[in-house]
Amino acid sequence: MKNQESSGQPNILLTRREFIKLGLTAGGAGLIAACAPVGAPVAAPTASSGQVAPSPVATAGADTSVLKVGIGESADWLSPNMTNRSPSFSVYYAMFESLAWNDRFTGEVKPMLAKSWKVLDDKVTWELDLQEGVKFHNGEDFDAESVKVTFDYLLNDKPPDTPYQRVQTATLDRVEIVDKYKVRLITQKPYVIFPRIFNEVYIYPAKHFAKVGPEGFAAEPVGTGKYRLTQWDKGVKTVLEKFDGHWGWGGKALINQLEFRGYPEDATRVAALKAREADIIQGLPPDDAEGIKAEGLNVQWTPLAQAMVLLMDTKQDSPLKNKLVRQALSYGIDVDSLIKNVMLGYGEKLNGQVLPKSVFGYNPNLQPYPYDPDKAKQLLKDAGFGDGLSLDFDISQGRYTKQKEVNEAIAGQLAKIGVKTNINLLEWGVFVDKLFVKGTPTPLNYIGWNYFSAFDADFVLPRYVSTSPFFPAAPKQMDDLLAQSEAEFDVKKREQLIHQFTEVMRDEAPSVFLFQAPDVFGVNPRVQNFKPTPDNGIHFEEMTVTT
Amino acid sequence: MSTYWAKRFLRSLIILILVTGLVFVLVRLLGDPAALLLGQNATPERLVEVRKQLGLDQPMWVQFVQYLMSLMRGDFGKSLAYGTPAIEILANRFPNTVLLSVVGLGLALIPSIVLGVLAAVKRGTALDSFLLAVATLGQAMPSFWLGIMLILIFSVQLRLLPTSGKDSIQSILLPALTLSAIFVGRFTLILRASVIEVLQQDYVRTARSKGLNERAILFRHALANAILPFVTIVGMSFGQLLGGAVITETVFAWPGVGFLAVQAVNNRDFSVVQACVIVLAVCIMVCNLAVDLLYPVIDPRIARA
Repeated sequence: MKNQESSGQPNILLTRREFIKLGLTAGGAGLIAACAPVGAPVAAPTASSGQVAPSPVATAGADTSVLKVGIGESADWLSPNMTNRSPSFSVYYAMFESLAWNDRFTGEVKPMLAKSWKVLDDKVTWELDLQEGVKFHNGEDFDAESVKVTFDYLLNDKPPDTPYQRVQTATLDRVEIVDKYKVRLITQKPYVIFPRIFNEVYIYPAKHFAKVGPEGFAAEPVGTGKYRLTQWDKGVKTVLEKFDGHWGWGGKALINQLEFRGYPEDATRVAALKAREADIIQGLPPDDAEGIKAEGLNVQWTPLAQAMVLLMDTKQDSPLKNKLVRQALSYGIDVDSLIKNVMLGYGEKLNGQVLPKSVFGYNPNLQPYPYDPDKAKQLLKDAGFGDGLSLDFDISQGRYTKQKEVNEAIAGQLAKIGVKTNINLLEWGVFVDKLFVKGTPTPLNYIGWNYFSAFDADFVLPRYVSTSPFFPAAPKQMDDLLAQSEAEFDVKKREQLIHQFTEVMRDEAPSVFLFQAPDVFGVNPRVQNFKPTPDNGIHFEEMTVTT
Repeated sequence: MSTYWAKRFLRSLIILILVTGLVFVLVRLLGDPAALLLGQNATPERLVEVRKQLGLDQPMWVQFVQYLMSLMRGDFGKSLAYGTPAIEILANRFPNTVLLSVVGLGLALIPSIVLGVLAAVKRGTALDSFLLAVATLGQAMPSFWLGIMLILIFSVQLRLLPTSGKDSIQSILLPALTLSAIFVGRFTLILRASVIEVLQQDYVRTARSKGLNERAILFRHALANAILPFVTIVGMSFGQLLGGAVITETVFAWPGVGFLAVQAVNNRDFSVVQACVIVLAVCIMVCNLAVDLLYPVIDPRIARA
C-alpha cells in the first residue's frame, strides 16, 4: 500500500463524510439509550414488591385513589434515624412509627408501638410493654428485638442527626429485652422527659436491618406505618401505597396511593398546583396565596412548633448585657405589623415566651410585650443609650419564610427607636458555624427554635441558662428552676416549674419573642379532611380525595 | 503519534490530580460539615466526635493521601447527607444531565447554524440587525425567567407539557428549550462572525470570479472553513453543561448534577462535591479531546500541519 505520508497526503483515519455518518449514528444511539429509564426506580422490599402503576382518581374511600404532594425537595432520605431531613418528614410519618407519639396539639405523650411504660424506682430504668400483633411492611413481626436493634444502632453508630442527639441527651446506656413484648431502656442519669424522646426514634425491623445494615436500609427502608414504599425515583418522586396489614393505630388511611415530588423552586411548585399536577403543595409562599385562591384552589396553614426569635448576644461586652436594653428592643418591635404586613397574616405571635402553644410547658398566663416605641426609647435612655446605639445583625439566607423581608422590617422599626442595625446576610453554613460552633454570634441573630417532634420546653429552654453560650447573663433563679424541672417526674409540678421559668425569662427578655413560623399549604378542593399540623409534615389519616 | 497521545494522557492525569487537590482544599475552606450536620444540636463534645467519625480530625495532607488512595479503588467516599456512596448518587444523576445537555444543545444547533449563516450572508441589512437582536436577547434572557414563563404558558395555561420532573419524554422539552434559547444566541453570534470572516477571504473572491454561484460558495467552501470556531464553542459548552445547568435544573426539578452539586455545597457534603468536580473535569477533558479529534476531519490542513 502506498505510504500516504511519503506521498504528501495527510494521514486521515476517517474522511469527513464517514465521520459525520458515524457521529450521527452514535449520537442517535446515545440519545435513544439516554431516553431509557436510568437507574430503575427502587421497588420496596416487601413480599409483594414491584412497581405499582398510578391509579386513576376515584370517589372517596375507593382503592384506586391517588394523592399527589408537592414538597420543597425530593424525599431522598428514607432512613429516618440516620438522616432526619425535613423534606422527608411527611414520608416518615406515613411509613414509620415510634414507641410513643407526642400529640401535635396538646403536647401529651400517647402510646404508639409501646402500649404503656413506667420508670422503675431507680429512676433510670424505663420498662415498656409493647404492642402485639404489629407487622412491618415486609411481614416481619414487631417485638422487643426490633426495639433493641434500633436503639443499639443509634448507640453504636452514633449517626450525626437528631435521633441520636436526643438519645445521647437522655444518656441512654443500653436496652435490655425482658421478654418478646417487654423491654427496658436504661439511662445513665434520671431523665424525666425520656418518653418524649420515643417519638424521635423510628423503629426498624430487626432481621431486615441486621441483614442489610444501615446503608442497605437507607436503600430499602421498611417501617410499620400505614403506608409502604412501592416506588422510589431518587430526585424525582417517592410513591407510597396503603399498607393493608397495618395494626390500626391512629386514624384510617383512606387514600390508596401517595406520590411525593420535589419542587425546589417556589414558582414551579405553585405552577404544579395550578396545573393540577399536585393536589397539595407544602411551603406555599405567602405572596402567592391570593393568586392560588383566585384559581379556585384553597389555602390552609398552621403555625409551626417553631419559635422565630431575635437572639441577643449577652456574652460579649455589648449593650445587650443590660436587661433594660433588651426590654427596649422587645417594646420597639411591632410583631403584629410584621405578621400582618410582611407575613401577610401567616404567623402567630409568641405570647411573651419562646414556647409555642402546642409545646408542653407553654404558659397561658403570659402576654407578649406590647409595641410601645416611646417606652422603648425611655428604657434606652435609662440604660444610658439616649443617643442611640449601633448593633450588628446576622441573618441567614434561604432558611425561613420571608426572613429577609421580616428582618429588614425589624431593622426599620429598631431605627425608629434609635437602634441602628448593620445587617449581615450569611449563608446558612456560615451562620451555623458562627453561632453554634465558634460561639461568636453577633449582637443580634434571627433564628427559629424547633420543637418537633419532641414538643417539649426542655428542647429549647436549656439554651437560656447561664451555662449556655446564648445567655450567660441568665440569673441564678433561671438556672435553678430549669434544673428542678429536669429532675421532676411529676408532670403537673414540672409544668409549674417551667411556667415560673418562663415568667422570669419574659422579664429578662434574652430574645425578642416574635412569632411562630407558618406552614402554608396550597390545596386542591378535591382533597377532603386535610388538617395541617405544627410538625412540618403532612398526616394522611382520614384524608380523602374526590373526583 | 503514540508519543503525542502518551504526553497528552500524562498531562491530563496531572491536571486531574491538580483539580482533585484544589477542590479538596477548597471544600474544606467552606466550613465545618459536622456543624452543619448537628445544626442546633451541636455541642463541643459532639462536634469532636462527629469530626472523628468523618475522618476530619486528621491533618489535611493525610486526608488527601487517603482520599487519593481510595480514588484509585474507585471509592469517592460516602455522602454525609445521604449516607450512601457519593459515586452512586452521582451515577444516578449524571445520565439525566447528559440527556438534558444533549437535547438542549441539539435543539440549539440547527437554528443557530441557520440564523448564523443567514445573518452573515445578509450582513448590514435589516434582517441581519433583527437576527443580531434576537441572538443577543437569547443570550441576555435569564434562564430562570424564561423557564418560569415557559411553565406558565405551556403547563399552567395550555396544559400541554408537565411543569417539571422526569417522567416522560415530554418532561425534557421545556428545560431543553430553556437551555437551547441561551445557546442559540451564543452560537449564532459566533458562527456569524466566523462566516463573515471567511467570506472575505481571497479564495472566496476567486471562486466568485470563476463564476461559482453564491450557494455553492457558501455551502461547499465557506461553511466548512467557518465551522471550526463553532465546533469549538459547541464542544466547550457541552463540557460545561455536563457540570449541570443549575438554574434550569432547579426551576424544572430536573434531577441532574447541577442541583445536586449546589445542595452538596450547601450541606458541606465534601464527598459529593469532590465527586461532581472530578467527574466534570474528566468530562471537560474528554470533550476537549473530542473537539481536537474533530479538527483534522473538518479541516485536513490541520492534520497535515
